[in-house]
Amino acid sequence: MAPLKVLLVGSPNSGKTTLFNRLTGLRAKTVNYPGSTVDLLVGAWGDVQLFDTPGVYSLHPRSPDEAITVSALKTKEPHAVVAVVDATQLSRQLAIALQLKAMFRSKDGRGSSSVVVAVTMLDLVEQEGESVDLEMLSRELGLIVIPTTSESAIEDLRHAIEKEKAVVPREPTELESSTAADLREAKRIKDLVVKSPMKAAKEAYLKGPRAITRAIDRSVLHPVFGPLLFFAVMTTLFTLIYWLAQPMMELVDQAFSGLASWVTAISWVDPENLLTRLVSDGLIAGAGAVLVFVPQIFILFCGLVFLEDSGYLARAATIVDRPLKAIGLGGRSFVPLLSGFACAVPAMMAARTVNSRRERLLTLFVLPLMSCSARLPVYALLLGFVFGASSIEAGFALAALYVGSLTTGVIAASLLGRLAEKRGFFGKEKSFLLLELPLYRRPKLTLVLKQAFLRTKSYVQRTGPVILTLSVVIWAGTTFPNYNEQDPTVRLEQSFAGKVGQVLSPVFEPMGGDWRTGLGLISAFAAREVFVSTMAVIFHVTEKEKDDGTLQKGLLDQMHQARAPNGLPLFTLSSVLGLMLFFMIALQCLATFAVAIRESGSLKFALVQLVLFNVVAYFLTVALVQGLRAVGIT
Amino acid sequence: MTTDLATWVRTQTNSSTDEGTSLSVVSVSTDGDNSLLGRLGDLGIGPGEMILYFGRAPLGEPVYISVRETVIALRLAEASLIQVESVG
Repeated sequence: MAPLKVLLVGSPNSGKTTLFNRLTGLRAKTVNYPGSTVDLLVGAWGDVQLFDTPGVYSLHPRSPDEAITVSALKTKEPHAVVAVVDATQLSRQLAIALQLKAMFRSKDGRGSSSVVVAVTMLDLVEQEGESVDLEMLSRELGLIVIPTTSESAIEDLRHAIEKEKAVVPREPTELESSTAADLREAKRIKDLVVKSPMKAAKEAYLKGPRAITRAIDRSVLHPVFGPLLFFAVMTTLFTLIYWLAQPMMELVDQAFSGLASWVTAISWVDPENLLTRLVSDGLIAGAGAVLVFVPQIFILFCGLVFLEDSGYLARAATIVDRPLKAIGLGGRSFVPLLSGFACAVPAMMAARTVNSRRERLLTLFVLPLMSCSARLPVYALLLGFVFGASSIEAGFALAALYVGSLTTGVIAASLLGRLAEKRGFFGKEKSFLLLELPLYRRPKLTLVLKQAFLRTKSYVQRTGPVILTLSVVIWAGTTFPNYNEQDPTVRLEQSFAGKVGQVLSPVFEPMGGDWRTGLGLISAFAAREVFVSTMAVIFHVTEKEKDDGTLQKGLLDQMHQARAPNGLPLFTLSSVLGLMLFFMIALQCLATFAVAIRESGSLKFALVQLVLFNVVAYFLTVALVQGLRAVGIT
Repeated sequence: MTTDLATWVRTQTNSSTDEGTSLSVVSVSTDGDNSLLGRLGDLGIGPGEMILYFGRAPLGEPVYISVRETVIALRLAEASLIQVESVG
């Protein structure tokens, strides 16, 4: 028997996702709705296939996310629809239930309508000293009403669906009434069904959830304390994804390199065999490149979902909205941008919390400019070259690089934002802010973990294959055709990537490099820090030095001695400064590229971003290097 | 006296009362982005509706109001589309 298809529909913050999780447990997965970047959560609930849909304020769609919900209603052919309604906001949210009823009414205007109403947050209403007459609500709506706070809610809901389900999936009809009319009717019903006993009401209200939320907001949105709290919360979040995730990422990294060397060490396996190397250097390293991001993604989403569910994230967005508005973004862009300083991969996924499509795309676009942690090993090497052992100056220079990265991000966002608005790149929608501030609630730990788990799983399933494939391509490019060559330096020189580097040598010369620099830059597409290890291979830094932990010193010595074909030093102050600028701007990260395809929902977007960043980085670097040389700084 | 919400907000000192200040919506401008106007309507912001003003964000924007049991934050640009008058 085909499963019953049931859609959960409701306003944002209506408790829809919480209900979904209660009904489906951990057996949920995300599916991509065709032609969009929005995930629909699908879960099995017995023989019911339950779909969670993006939150809507009405069934007349105003945003791409709302359009997806309406389109799912029209095309998924549901047997039944559950309208999730927050009891604390009946006068607004009942309008959605009314619209669903109208959409799924039977053609002759009689018969069951296959819509069931689930009322959430009744406990909050009761804490305010009010009560909702559910029987009257059911009569007024002409729909079955189930309170989700009751013990038997899940069974009741199932019975209601069984009773109301359409035998054949019902054809939705176009809405005739306006939202204004539905809102008037919602208000009328709300005034009828919500009872507040006069005596206790005032007292209870002062202690109720709304009053508590108002009291908390007085501190959270306070002119002085608000920004301080914001700073503390964001610092904590960043610390978690930066320093807490770091050891775990190293662990993943070590596990995979350990696995790779274990494979080559198996007695009956020939370590030089091509297949062995494909498995150890290509596939296992590629899988490592995918999974290395898992700790960061999981931790970031735990933090994000926690902040969102508690109600704080919406407040935080209002606190930083003003400065971000100035550059065409909004308050919701802050967390993704901040996360970008750790890693663009989880940060791009975090941009899903940006409601406006235009702001989301703009955020995604400028995100790779934030100086991620993978650039640090490269900066460390290049700063070591310029400043030697002096760590104070190097520290200041590193700080300058971070400020530079933020500045380019701001400039890029404002330029692009203006251009996009004029040309309508990211949709015609004007930038506006209408953000609901939900009641504060204590987040449920299991739900937080589950959401973070689903996000991480979705990353591994959707983005993983792309990163894995591209990693293997890079491996093949740096290995073939002379894969039998024993000396790694010669093998790399003669590889396809080496050839490309040599052919493109005239391109790298204006930026103060030669084909070896170019090869380093090409290999850095696997991950930016690979630049360092590739340079080590190119410049014959021995295995011994690697094992001694003096790789950087050995490499720096080699870099100081390296000569360009014309006999002059290859690495000079100007060329190294140029490289720093290049790494600051260029998008050399296939994982970011893969995530950008997925999160923007457009290969073209990701390609334009990839090409534009690298071309701009190249020309700025050439300008810097040639400019410095023109004024006598070699 | 009828003014738009943004102008009204600018005349307010930053300290807001706990209960909020009651305002009545007179009309909503039709001269704006369609999806924005639609969203204002979906939230229940329309003629005759009561809204409560709670205050402004630390940097002066957005402003916090409540309408139909929902607290929302909106920028001054959005607020300027809403014509309001004070309630006694």
